[in-house]
Amino acid sequence: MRRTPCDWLLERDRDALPRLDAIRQTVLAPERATLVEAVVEAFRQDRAAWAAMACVWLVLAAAHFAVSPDNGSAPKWSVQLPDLAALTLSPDEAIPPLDRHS
Amino acid sequence: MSETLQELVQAARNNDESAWDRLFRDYQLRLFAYANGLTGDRQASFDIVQESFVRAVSHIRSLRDDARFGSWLFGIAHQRCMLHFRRTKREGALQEDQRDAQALEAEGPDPRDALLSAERAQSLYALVDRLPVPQRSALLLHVLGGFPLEEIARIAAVPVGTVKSRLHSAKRALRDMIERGDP
Repeated sequence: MRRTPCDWLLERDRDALPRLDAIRQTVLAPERATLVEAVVEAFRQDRAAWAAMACVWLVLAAAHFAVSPDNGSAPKWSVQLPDLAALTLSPDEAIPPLDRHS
Repeated sequence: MSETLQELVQAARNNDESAWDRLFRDYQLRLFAYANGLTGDRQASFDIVQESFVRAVSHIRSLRDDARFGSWLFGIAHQRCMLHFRRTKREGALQEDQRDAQALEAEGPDPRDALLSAERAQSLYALVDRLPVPQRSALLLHVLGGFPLEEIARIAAVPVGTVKSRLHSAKRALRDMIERGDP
């Protein structure tokens, strides 16, 4: 059987077939390929944005733990807050009900 | 054959993974041979094939005629090859060969006949690799893809006359190299 020019040209690259099969299977495995590629791509393209967002979350987390009542000790700046008990009105200072006729 | 191809492409449009697998299996070696023949970079050629497959799956809606799936897929690979050349600063190799027009004068045997006359495969590879990139591209698309001039022109985004000129130049260059006993 006479070989065609195409056969001649393909002969050199025939040993690439196993790797080409692997590439084909990778491309056609959407669950594995797209998830990994999407995550990698998302982090690769906007690294600065991701880093900034991570810093914001770290600050928020630190603030959260600093003021959390479960923390055991009150935050240092809490002494500067006004005493809520002092703000409550005594019975003498109670505001009279509104006279709807006046 | 074309009906089967159209059925496969239609199934691929409906996200039929087995149809995609069959299509890619049919074209993968020819695509790789084209990329490797054009770039001479084996690793880059694997990347080009993979990128072409990914883009084919994601852009199948842009294919208007299912019967032209082959040339459409080669067109994607061709674009990736051109991108590779730009990335590797080899744009100079892509310049149009001004002598192409002169080759139109010389009518001769089909370049595939010249290739057939080559007795040793290694010699054939060496001869093809020595062609300028535009001529090599046209010749490889003609031989590997079996595409007519119009399809090659569409893939390479050049006029049909330019493709004809490049094929003639490739044929003449191959004939000259063979007659000189190169390589």
